[in-house]
Amino acid sequence: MRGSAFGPAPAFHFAAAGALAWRGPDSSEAPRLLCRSDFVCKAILMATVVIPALLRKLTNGVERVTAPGRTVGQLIDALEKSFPGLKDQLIENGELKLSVAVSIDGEIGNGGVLDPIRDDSEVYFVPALSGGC
Amino acid sequence: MAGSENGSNNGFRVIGTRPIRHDGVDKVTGRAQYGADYALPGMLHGKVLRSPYAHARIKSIRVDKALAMPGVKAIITGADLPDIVGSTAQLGEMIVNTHYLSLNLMARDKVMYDGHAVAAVAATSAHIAEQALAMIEVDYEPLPHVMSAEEAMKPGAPILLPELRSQGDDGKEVHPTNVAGHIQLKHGDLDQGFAEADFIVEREFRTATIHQGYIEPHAALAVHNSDGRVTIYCPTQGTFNVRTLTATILQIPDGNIRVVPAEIGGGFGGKTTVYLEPLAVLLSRKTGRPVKMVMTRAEVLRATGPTSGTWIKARMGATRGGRIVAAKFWMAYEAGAFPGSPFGAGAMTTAGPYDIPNLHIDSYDVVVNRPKVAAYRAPGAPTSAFACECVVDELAEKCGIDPLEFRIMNGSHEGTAQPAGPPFKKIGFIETCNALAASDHYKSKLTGPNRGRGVAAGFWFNGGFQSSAIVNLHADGSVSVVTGSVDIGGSRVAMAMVAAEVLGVDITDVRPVVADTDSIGHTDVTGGSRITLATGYAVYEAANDVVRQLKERAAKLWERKPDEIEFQSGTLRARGADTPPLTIAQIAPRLARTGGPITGRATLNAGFVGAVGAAFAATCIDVEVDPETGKVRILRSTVAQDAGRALHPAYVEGQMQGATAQGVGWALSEEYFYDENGILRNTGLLDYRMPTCLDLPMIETIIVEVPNPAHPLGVRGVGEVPIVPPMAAIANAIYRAVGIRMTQLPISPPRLLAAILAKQHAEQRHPVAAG
Repeated sequence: MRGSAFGPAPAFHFAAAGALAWRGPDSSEAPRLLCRSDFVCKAILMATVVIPALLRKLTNGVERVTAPGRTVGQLIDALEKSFPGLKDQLIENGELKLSVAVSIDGEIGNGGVLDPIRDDSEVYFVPALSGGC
Repeated sequence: MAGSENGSNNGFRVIGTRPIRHDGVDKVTGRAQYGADYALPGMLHGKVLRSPYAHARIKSIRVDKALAMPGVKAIITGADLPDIVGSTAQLGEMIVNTHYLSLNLMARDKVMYDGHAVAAVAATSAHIAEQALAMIEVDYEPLPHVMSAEEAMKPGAPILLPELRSQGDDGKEVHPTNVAGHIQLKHGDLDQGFAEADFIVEREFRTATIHQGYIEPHAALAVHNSDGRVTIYCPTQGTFNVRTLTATILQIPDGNIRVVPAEIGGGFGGKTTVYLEPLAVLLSRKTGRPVKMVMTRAEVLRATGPTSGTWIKARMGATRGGRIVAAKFWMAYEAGAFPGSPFGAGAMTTAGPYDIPNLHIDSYDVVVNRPKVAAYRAPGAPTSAFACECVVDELAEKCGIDPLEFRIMNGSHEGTAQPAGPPFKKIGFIETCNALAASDHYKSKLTGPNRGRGVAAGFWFNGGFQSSAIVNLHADGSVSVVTGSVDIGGSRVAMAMVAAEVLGVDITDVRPVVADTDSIGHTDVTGGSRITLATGYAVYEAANDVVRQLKERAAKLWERKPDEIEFQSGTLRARGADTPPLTIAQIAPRLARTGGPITGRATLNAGFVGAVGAAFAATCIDVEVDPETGKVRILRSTVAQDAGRALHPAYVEGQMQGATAQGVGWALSEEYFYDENGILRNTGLLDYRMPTCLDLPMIETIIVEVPNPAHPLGVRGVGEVPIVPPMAAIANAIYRAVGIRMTQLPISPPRLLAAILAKQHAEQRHPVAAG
C-alpha cells in the first residue's frame, strides 16, 4: 500500500528529526532523510528498510523507507524517531526479539542489533523460524 | 545421478562417493546403544501419570497411597517444578517459551490435553511404578474443550489460556482469544492482480494432526549427583537443547548438566525438545539414584509433539497465457495446548517456488486441546504447499498448460522475492523441475483405468546456526573428527568425508565421533537441514587448521618458512626444493618432536543461510484408485531435488526417499483421531497407520546440483524439502485418476470412497451429455 509518511507535496519539508526529507517524483519511492550541514544540503545514502505488513500501520501504510545506521540497532533507533512505536515491536530488553529475524541483503544476520548495515543495504524484518528434520 | 561409484566426482576424491557409514556395523548387529539400552547400578524406573481429560482443572492431587507402596521411592507433581514466568530461549533455530514448556512438561492447575503429564513416580521396577500411578488420586473438574482451529477461533469458544489477548488496530489488548499469533506477508497490489487474472481458483483445505512417526520412543536416564552435577543419557536431536531446556526448567546452571547422546531411532524434529529429561533429573535428585524413563508408544502419540493440523484458504489467479498474477492465503495452524505452531514458516514457504507479483498471506497460531506441537520436517511447509500446489495444478489445467511447464514458467529464480520479501540468491528450482520433466518417469505414458499422475513442488530454507568441530591427528596418521551433531541421517560419515577430502587421507582412516556437551563446543540442534552445511563447514575449517599446523611442522623439519610449504592430496612439499615430500602418515609419528599433538578446531555461526542456501524439490507420483474401496496405490514415485553438492549421494537419496514415504503417509493414511470427549483413540501404530515398505514402490531419486555459493563445498541442506511436495502430488494424481479434487488430508479410503460415490450420485442425477 502506498502512502506518505510525510504528507503530500511540497517536495521539501522538515521531518521530525530536524532533517530534510525529500520525496521523489514517484510517490511510491521511499522518502529519504537528508542531513543539513552548514546550510548545504547533502544527500546521504541510506539503507532501505521494508516494513513488515502488520507494522505498516505505524508508518502510515508506507512499505519501504530509508534510514541511516551502521548497525541494525542504530537503524531501528532511527526508524523509531520517524515512526514512534516501531522499536517496541522489534526490540525487547535491548536485543532483537527472538521471534524476529533480520535479512540484510538477502542473508539472515547472526548478531541481532549488532549486525552491520551498509549504506545501500536492503533490510527486511522477517519471522524467525524453526526446522525439523 | 550425482556422484559415482569409482570415487571421482567434480574434481573431488572422496566427496561424491558412497563409503560405508562408520556406525553401520554396530547398527545392523544390534550393538548400537539407543536410549532405552542404557542402565546404571542402583537405577530406578520412572513412569508418568497422564490426564484422561482433554481439558480439566486439577482440584487436588494425593500421592500418599502411592508413596506408601513398597518399591516406590519418590513422586513428583507440578508443584515440584519451579515457576518460570515470561521467559523465552533461543536454541539455534528454535524459539522456546520456557514458561509454556514447563507447563507442558507437567500440568499445574489445568490439564490441557489427553495425555498431559500430571505426576511422575520413581520405583525399583517399571511394573511397580506403573502400579503406583494407579494409586495417585487426582480430582479433576472437566472443562469444555476445543479440538480444531475452526472451533477455537469462533466467537464464544472456550478460552484455553486466559493470558492470551487479541490486539486491536491501536495495538491495545481487546479480549481473550485462542489466537496466539498472527503473521502477515504482502507485496504488490492484490486487487489489481486478481483484476488481471483470466482464471481464478479458490479452495479451502484441511489437514490433520499427524506424528513424526519415529520408531524409537523417547527415553532418558538421569543421574543427579549429590554435588549438583547432572548427567543425562538420552536420544535427542540436540544435546545442547536438552542441557539448556533442562537447566532452565529446573533453574539450575547449564554447566552443571552433561548430556550424552545415545544413538537415535528417528526424530524428524520431534526430538528437538524435552519431555522426560527434566522429570528424570528431578526424580533422581529426590531419590539420590539414577532414574530411567522410557515412553510407551501410546505415550509418544498422546503426549509428545505431533505437527499441526491446518485450515487453509487459498485463492490464486493466472492469465490465459499461464502467468500467476495474484495469490492470497489465509492459514490457521493448530499449536496444540500452548502457542508455537509453525505458522510463520508455513507463511514464508507457501508459494515460495513461484514469482508472484501480488501476494498476500495471513497466518495464525491457534491453541487447541491437543498436545503441544513440535517440529516435523520442514515444519509448516508441507501443509501450506499442499494448498498452494493443488491450486497451482488447477490453474495449470484451466490454462491448458502442462503442470510442470506451468511451474517452470512461473518459477522462482535468482532475484525473485521470497514470500517474506528478501530476494532469492542463486537457487535451482528451474533446474530441479527441468530434471523431473526430463525423467524417464515423467516422459513415460501412464495407461489404465483409475490411474493418474500428479506433480508438485516445494521449498524450504536452510538452517545455519552454531557448530563446533575438532579434528585430531593421531600418531599413526589416522584422524578423528569430533562434533556435537547427533547423527540422524548419515551426517557422521559426511563429516568424515569432509575431513578425508581436505586432508587427503582415506575415509577408512577417519573416525567420526559425536560428543557429549562437555567434550565439544556449543552445537545447535540437528535439524533445519543444517548439519552437512554448518557442521560440515566447521569440519572443513578444522581440517584446514590441521593443514596449517602440518605446514608449520614440515617447515620446522625442513628449516623453511611455513608459507614455503605446499599441501596437496595428503602430501607436504617444500616449494622449489628437492626435499622428499612427506605424507600425513609419515609426518604423524614425528609430531611429538616437532611441537606436540596436532588438533584442528573451528567454531562458527553459519547464520540462517536463507536465500543463499534455499532448497527446492519437485515430485511426480502415479496412483491407481480402487473405486470400490477408495484405496489409493502408489504405482511410481520420483523426486528431484537440488542438493547443491551431494557429499554422500546414497544418504541424500535416503533423505529424499524417506521424506517421500512420510509424505505418502501424510497424504493417505495418517491422522490423529479424537472422539467427542477429546480423547485420542488411535494410540498405536496399528491404528495410526504409517506406510511400510509394502505400501510403496522403490522411490526414484534425481539429485540436481546447483552449488550453494555461500558454502565452500557448495552444499545445500537436503533433509527436509523432499517432504514438502508429495501430498499435493498425490492429490493431483488422484484428480487425474478419478476426477475429484480432494482438499482434506488424509485422503483415506473412506473419505475418497465417499467422494467417489457422491460424484457418481451427482452424475446420475445430472448426466453429462454425450458428444
